[in-house]
Amino acid sequence: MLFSLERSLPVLAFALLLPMAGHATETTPAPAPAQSATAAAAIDEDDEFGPDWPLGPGREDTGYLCGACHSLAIVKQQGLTRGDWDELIDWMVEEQGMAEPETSERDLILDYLAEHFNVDRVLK
Amino acid sequence: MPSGKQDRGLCELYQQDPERADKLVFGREAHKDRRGFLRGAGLATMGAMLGATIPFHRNFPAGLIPAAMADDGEMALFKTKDGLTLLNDRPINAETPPHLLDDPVTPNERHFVRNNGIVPDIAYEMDASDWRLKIDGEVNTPLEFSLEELKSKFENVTLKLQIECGGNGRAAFNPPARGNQWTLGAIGNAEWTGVRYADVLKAAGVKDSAIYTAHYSLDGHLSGDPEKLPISRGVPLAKAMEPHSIIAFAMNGEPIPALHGFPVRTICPGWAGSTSQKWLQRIELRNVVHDGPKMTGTSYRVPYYPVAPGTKVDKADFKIMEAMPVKSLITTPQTNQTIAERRLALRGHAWAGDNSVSRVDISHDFGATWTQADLAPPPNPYSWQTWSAEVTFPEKGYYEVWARATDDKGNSQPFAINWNPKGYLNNSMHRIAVTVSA
Repeated sequence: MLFSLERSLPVLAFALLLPMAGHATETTPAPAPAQSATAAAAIDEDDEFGPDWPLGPGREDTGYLCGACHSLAIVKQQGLTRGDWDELIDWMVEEQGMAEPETSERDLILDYLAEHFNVDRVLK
Repeated sequence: MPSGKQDRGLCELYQQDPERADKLVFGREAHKDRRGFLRGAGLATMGAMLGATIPFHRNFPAGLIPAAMADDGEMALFKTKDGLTLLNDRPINAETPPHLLDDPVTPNERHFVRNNGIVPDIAYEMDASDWRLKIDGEVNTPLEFSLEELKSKFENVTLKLQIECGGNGRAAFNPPARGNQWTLGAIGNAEWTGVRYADVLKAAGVKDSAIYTAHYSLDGHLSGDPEKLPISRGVPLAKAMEPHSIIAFAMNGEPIPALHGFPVRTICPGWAGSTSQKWLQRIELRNVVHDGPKMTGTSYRVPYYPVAPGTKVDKADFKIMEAMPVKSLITTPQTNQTIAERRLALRGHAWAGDNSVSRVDISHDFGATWTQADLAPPPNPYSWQTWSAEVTFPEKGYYEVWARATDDKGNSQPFAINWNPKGYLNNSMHRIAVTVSA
């Protein structure tokens, strides 16, 4: 992982909690799967973000913010550090007309993106 | 959630003139009773787009948009494509698997698509009667042309021209670079008809102060903001004046398809595909390097010195990409085939930005030895060149065939990627896997 340890701590915390117990997902706005090991399969086919939009905190916020203008297909291809996602959000705000997210929302979204679409992602 | 604008496209075409839409979209004509498909015209196309045969086709009313396509927007346009890999559906970005690029001239249905914005209404309607192309800026006489005027006032030229996305090959970058993760197939070599970019600029009179062109187009910004342009790029004046840079109005003998830039687009062959701008409506000559969207920052730019993978590079150290580097593809056979014979015929294409390809070499032993392929000359400058070769495998087992092109300036394709932060210019060698079973 290339992103700074300090900023990545919340990400690591979620990464550790999620596989351990289903109740860890109670804080997520998305429906919590009964068995987190099969989390991806638990998302409904008709889910508005698609069945391959990963479960976890920030799922809806990120899906709505990014999906407002472009397909989530482009997000799902990326593999970026938290710092690079942060820069990309700046670019979206400064150059592409995206509304600037509140600090707490921005952190939630960055955590989600860095958790699921980091440099170790595997292209499908 | 597609925007309203996207939703209108095909539906609008059908609302305006349903039978013309039948003809344009499917090549369909109905029987006298306004049902069915006269002499079967358009039936196969519609079936292919729907992914099924239509048992009751004789009853299908004329001018009726198939319900399966009624609210599909840009995806309905994408259904005209054959075998492409869809990377992004809003905006449409799709590449062609190498084995589907075997034709010397890339058919429309197999040409890759790289869009930055929303396909404009004019491209769905395929009606340029209200469209004009404006030429202004550093010219003696600003000019304006209708499509018919553009076609009739200047000599028409027909050329096979290669266009490659600047980010083709980005998927192989490690660490990953942001953007569409193109693998190998963001390259095409269609036959384009148009007028020379230079002839149009000369008609307006190029002032000495002009150094760069600026392209402005009709595609919509993804945010829906009508004041924003998704992309506005240009080229140095010398590239615009090069006789193979054209303003095209036909692709493989047909009006340019909606996804590819109807009614006209620039083709600046051999350069990053973004300089070949679709849905063109204005060319401005500028006395500075153009600074439109995706000209500045790190867009279509690379560091002017080599960097280690993962390096953070200051924006001031980036330069604009111009010509694409020498590259080749193996288009026959498809990768990952098992063959029962020891001999294998190979075929593919090679291209080299502003240069020409002088040789292509093939290896079937992981680069230890190389054999020169037969290389055809290009039908015209800036077309890709077709090569062929044959290899004989010594025994059964797993092999890789690698192709390496060399241009007339002595540049060859590298094995490794010259990493850069935005994932451009990957011209590393194409490798295919072949298993010999006996």
